[in-house]
Amino acid sequence: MKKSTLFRFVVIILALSAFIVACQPQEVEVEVTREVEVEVETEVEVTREVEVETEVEVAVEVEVTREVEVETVVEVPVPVIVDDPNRTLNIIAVQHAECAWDSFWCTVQAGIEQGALDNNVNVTILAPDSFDVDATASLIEQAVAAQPDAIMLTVTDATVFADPIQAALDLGIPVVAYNAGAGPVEDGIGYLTYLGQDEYAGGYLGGQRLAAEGGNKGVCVNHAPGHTGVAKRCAGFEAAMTEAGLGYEELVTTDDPAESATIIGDYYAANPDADIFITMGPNSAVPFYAFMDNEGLSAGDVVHGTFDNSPEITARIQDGTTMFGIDQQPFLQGYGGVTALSLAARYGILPAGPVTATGPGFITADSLGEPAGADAPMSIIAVQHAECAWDAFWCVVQNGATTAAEQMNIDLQILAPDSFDVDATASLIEQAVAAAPDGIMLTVTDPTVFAGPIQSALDAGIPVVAYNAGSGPANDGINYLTYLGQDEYAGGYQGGQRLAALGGTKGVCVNHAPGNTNVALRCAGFEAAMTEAGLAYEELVTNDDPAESATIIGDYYSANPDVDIFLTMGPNSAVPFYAFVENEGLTTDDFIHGTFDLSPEISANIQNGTTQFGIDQQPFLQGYGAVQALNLLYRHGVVPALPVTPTGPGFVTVDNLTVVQALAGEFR
Amino acid sequence: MNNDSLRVRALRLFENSPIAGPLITLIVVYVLFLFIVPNFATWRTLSGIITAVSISGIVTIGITLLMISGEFDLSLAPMIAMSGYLFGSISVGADSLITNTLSSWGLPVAVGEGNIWMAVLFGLGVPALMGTLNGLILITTNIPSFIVTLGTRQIFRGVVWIVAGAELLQVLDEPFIYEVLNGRFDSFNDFIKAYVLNPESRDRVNFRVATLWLMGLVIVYQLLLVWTPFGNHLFAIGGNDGAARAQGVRSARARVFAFMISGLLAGFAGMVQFSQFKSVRVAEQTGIELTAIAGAVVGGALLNGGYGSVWGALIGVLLISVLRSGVILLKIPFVPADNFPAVVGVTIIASVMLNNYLRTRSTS
Repeated sequence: MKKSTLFRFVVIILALSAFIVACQPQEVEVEVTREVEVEVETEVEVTREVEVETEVEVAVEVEVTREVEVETVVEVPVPVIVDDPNRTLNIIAVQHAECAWDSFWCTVQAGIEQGALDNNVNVTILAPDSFDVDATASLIEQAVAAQPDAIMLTVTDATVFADPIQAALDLGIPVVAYNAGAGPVEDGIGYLTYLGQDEYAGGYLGGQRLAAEGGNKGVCVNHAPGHTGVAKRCAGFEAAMTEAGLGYEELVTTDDPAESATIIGDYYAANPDADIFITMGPNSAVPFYAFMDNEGLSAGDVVHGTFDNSPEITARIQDGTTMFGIDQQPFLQGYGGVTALSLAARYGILPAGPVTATGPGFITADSLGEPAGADAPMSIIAVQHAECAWDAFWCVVQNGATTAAEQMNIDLQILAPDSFDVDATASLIEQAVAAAPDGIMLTVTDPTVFAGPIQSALDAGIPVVAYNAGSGPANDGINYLTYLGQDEYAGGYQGGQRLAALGGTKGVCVNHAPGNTNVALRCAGFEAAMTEAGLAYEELVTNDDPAESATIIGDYYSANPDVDIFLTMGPNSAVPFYAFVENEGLTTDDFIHGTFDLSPEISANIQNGTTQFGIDQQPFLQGYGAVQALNLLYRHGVVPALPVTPTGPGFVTVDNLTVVQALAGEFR
Repeated sequence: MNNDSLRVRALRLFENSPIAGPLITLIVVYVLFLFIVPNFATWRTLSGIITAVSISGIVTIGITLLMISGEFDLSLAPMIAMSGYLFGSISVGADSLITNTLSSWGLPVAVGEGNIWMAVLFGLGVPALMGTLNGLILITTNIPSFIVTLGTRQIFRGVVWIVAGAELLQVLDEPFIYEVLNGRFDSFNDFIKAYVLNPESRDRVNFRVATLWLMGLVIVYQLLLVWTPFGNHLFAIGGNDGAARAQGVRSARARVFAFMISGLLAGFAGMVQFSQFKSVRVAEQTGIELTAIAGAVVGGALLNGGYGSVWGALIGVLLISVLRSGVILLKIPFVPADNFPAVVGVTIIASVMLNNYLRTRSTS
């Protein structure tokens, strides 16, 4: 009788399935016609709200949104790459002043010389004998006539310099600006980037530090009204005050220190609640100190920070009157200019943004110690969540790091787990801390799990920078120095915008690494772009078996035939995607595909039109930049300017593929 | 002959075979899905389900032989990776540590000049040697294979690391051998399209050559298992090693041989994978051992040996693949592709319960 139980079991199941079939509504075949919108607006004004949260120590976190208007980018010609990356480059630097007659420039030139040494470059510095715009312009013409491998210059006058700079660009000579300039967009000249202080960030980050001390009302003491750079400093400071829920006012002083001290005193008498002051440099700091003496105020009564540095400011920082001096880090302007040109001319790696921030660098009582010096031996341990052996992308990162380490004579050790494993990576960080190197660079794949190990490094006094994975010290809640990488959200968002502009109905984010917060941000940015364009969105998780993943994508596609926009997260999800495309016999008319990262196969598919773009985060620059940042800090006392140092996103499309392809796998 | 006796005979046939449980489950689930899952009754889905097991299926054959003899192999993933690196580098003469080293030894391969026969020899031979090593360690030390291969898994990973030059290998060339191992099976696909499919249909057929290899291997190894003394010895060793030895079974030799076969199949899986995807990394297919063990168990094999079949194991991995495709096509909101492992978990436990039920009934 038991045997019949089994039979009944089978019969019941068959009956059940028959019942379900009977209940199943008839499927209606629907002809799907896809409308492709042909009109594409060319000039899109994108207003992006960026959450700027930087200071970790701020007790009450209030979100302030800073509106950034993305302007139309000036056409930047792709510079010619030198035949042999290993040969010594010749760079000419043209500046409006020099060490011989302005001591400020000694620091800039020291940076240039150190940069030349580290990058195997010969630099010739040209400068007029006194401040003279026309003389400087003709020095630029001379420099172009000499046809060096690259030119760096100070854009003191964008109008006068436009023609000589354009002559260099027309010859394919890469050009960067340093110390003076406003970036290619504002100057209207297509040079690569401007290296100087991010004035807004200086005011903002300074304001956050001051607000963290507590207070009622912040005052921006401005001795140079009408100066746009100084206005940006005040604007950033105001944003930080508003964010912290404090009052704000701008106080204009004059060039006369005695007069200015009285102005500040009168203002203070009228506004006794003002207790946070930021001054715009020695010219307003000196009257401020006079005001304090006049009023008999001491360090605890008001909180003060200032831009720039001077012997008096240094002394006031040491005695506790002033919290910090904001340094534009002239050393980094010179050093960074040489490095940026070397990377562009040798490897075709371009600066990520039109302005490369060299400051604000905060000089505080803690940081007034001496750096180790250019010849000091140095060791760095890099801990990353993946590596070259099993992810092609990482070969380029590691090449960047090892190239920098060789150039700068640094002992570099790279640690990584042999498959994606957050816990294993966390214990590698602990190992690195135990080895007590002079600097640690790491990927913050999981800020929660990594917070403990990273904090133990910071407690041990080891400087830490993050690269490739992370979202900056504020968002990660860990007080490391800076994060070098692309804004993952911006990568997904801009990628989504490009794909949506080509038409489509539904976007899918193909994610082979669920649980990676970095990849989640890419999907979130992509989702935002889809939603903004009025398109549907879904996330599809694949796995490590490419055969299985191809079937997963195929099954998903047949369950969701309306999907026509695909964004893959790198070679490990792009490879199964291409297998899926082959299986389905799809043509480029059936779908729109973009991907993060580059690999030989992705490049081939960009070439044949299957893939619209690879989002290049310039991994070489992540490895190179992380080593360089630690080197500059340890040996030269230069701190990273911003909590996030962007290295990308850069879009590799069929237009610039040939340049990139020549370097793929090694430098790109 | 009345209905009852026919029914009883049919049932007996099922119950005496280890594949009864898995086969019933596979058919029931497949038929059920045919009716209730939209887009399931297509050639595209069928070929997708079968193609998805092209790599894990091959590995599962080896795991099943081992499990029948009461052993495990947790070191298959590095063997797959090793095969991928050797086969990939040598077949196209990729500019890699492998090609350069072999070339400097005077072997007939150089950068840009691949050697297909040597690629196949290395792709199969080296993993087979690695498997043999597992077996030799097992019989000389008497450490359980779970522990032995847990150790060699890490050791092999390290060896692959060195051989790979710590770099990912990716090629764009397509030598003919890739088509032979895992090209599109277009003669069959076109046949289906021409004679079976409605010309109006937008259905796709995506069988690949790997499916033929898998079927061939399943037949060969199933016959090896049931028709040869070696196969009988595996069952005997797994059932009761002491008794088997007393009967004159050369237990040690048979087990080493089973490990060698397992390595050989892992090597073949690595070649099949490289032929389609043309890339391999050191951590390739991490965790495939557990997928394969799950397939074998769902397919009726016992964890402590002496029972199981290659057919059953194939059915096991197919069942998992059918479930995955069905679940994705159903668009169940709480079981998307990333929550699929939970479905596999339920399947494993349910299948083993059913298998146990059928086995105890047939033996009683």
